[in-house]
Amino acid sequence: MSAGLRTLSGWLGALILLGLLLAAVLADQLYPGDPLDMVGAPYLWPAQSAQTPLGTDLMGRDLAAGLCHGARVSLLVAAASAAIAVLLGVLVGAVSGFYRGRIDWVLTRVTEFFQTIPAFLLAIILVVVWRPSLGSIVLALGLTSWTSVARLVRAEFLTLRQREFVKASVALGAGDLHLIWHEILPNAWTPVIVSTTLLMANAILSEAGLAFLGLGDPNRVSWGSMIGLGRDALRTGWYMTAVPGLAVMLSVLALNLLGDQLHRRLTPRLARQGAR
Amino acid sequence: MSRALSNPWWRLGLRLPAVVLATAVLNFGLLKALPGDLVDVIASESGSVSADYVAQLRRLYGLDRSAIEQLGAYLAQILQGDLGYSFRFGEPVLPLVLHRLPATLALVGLALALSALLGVWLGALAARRPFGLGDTVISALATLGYSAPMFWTALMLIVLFGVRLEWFPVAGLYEVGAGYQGLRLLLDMLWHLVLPVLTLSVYYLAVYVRLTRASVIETLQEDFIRTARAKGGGESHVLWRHALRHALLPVLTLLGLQASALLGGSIVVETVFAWPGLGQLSFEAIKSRDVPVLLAVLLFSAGLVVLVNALVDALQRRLDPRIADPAGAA
Repeated sequence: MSAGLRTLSGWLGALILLGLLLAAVLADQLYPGDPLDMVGAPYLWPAQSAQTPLGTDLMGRDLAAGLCHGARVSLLVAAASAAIAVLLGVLVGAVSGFYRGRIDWVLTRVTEFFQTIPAFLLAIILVVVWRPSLGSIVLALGLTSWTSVARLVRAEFLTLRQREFVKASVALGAGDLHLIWHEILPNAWTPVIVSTTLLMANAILSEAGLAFLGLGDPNRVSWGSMIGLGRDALRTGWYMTAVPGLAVMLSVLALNLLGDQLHRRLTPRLARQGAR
Repeated sequence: MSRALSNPWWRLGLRLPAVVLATAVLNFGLLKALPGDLVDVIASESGSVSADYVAQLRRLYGLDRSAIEQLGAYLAQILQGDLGYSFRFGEPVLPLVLHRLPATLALVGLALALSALLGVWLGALAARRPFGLGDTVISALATLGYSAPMFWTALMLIVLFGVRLEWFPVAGLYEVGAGYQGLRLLLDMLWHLVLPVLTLSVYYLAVYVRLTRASVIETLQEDFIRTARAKGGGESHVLWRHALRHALLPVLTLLGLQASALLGGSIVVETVFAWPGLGQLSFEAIKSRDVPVLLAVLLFSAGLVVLVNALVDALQRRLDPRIADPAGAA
């Protein structure tokens, strides 16, 4: 792939995301009313009826309406849980890398421990404990995905702490909070921004997985729950599973493409070598 | 770092109990946070139960004691190899989990091996000529495989290979009623494993492709590669003998990290394919709030990940002697 084509794929990712965002924001205008209501005959294949271009499910619900309203859940969960993960990760990583010593030892062991236990299994348990709802899903996914950010931020802090501009600031009598917030953190954002897109992609996949297993918010349509319902008609109407699955895949793909592009843009040395 | 701590087996001996203990404490806290306890579940399942009987049950299971006492009792039990009794399945937890463990080990082990081997191979191929045609195809496919939700891949594979083409079985451990024995039974099980392993591999393969590609490209810029080329080593000799060996280190690190993700992924895959392993067991346990089973599954998962990481550690030392003796490397 030429470098130009790669840049193009980054823009494609951004474009797909923009489309998803529009679908999510305009869901109520495009498809007013409850997407869980019946609108036509069941088992209509895509393109079979002009009214339901993506077909209907077992109960005659419009798949396109489900996709638009489902985009809300996916994007909301992705953004909110990524925000929690970044917040936690930056906090743990910054304290760890800045203060080093005993507190670093403890926080690193905690991070390692959370990397050891299967995150998805822990997320399932948390959602079960707190009962499935949008809030519990966001919290569960955020609390189980911060470790990668913490490790990245810690590594950045460990090296940046030794740099001359930080030492100069120390010599000028700056306090810890000033050093962390105004000196080091602004220089440590690059890897965090890139991994945020990956966190969001993972959150969309995990949310879909939870909903598929019956742990989605019971009051909302989600792509995962649509796939779960479509599974019952897998032999006769596999499009019911394929359509929402493609939506998940497309949005995750868009985030991955965007992440790759950001990574190349923000680390020029790698871009020249063609690595990653 | 002291000598003892740099030995991987010593570290394993320290880490395994520490992780198991931490997991036990975490799970205990989580399950205490569940609305309603085991006795509430039993009471609601059996219909009308007198308050006296409920109090008696609470005493029987030690639920009337303080949380610290309960935790202590639980940890003491684990030390004796007693992981409790499952009310859902009507049998002690330890044999239940051990019974399901081999199915998951087979699934996750095969998927890990397949995705790592194939992923490293494809990643190295792609790195040979970055941005070339081969790289473009491999990288694009990897990005796609990395983006599809695993349970959806599973369902689509079922539609294609199970329903349309009828090539592979889509559910269960083996052909029930066929009465296969010995080697024939083993082959039948492997046959049933094709689609689940493929599902897990499609996703994790992509991860290895991407990392190996990046790592090999970076390694190919190193001085020792120039030396190898100058000595007259052919391009493919340099790639597979010299570059890949060095580039494998970060891939191995990832392998250790992925073990935990694979166990998580096996939950949905086992659920879709009705593969009777730990993943399916844990989902059943969560639905019926079967406390002891859940604790045991998480304990075993965490223990497994620690073991895999110890293996990875040992392998890395084999590949790069500098890790084993950091002082001598400088």
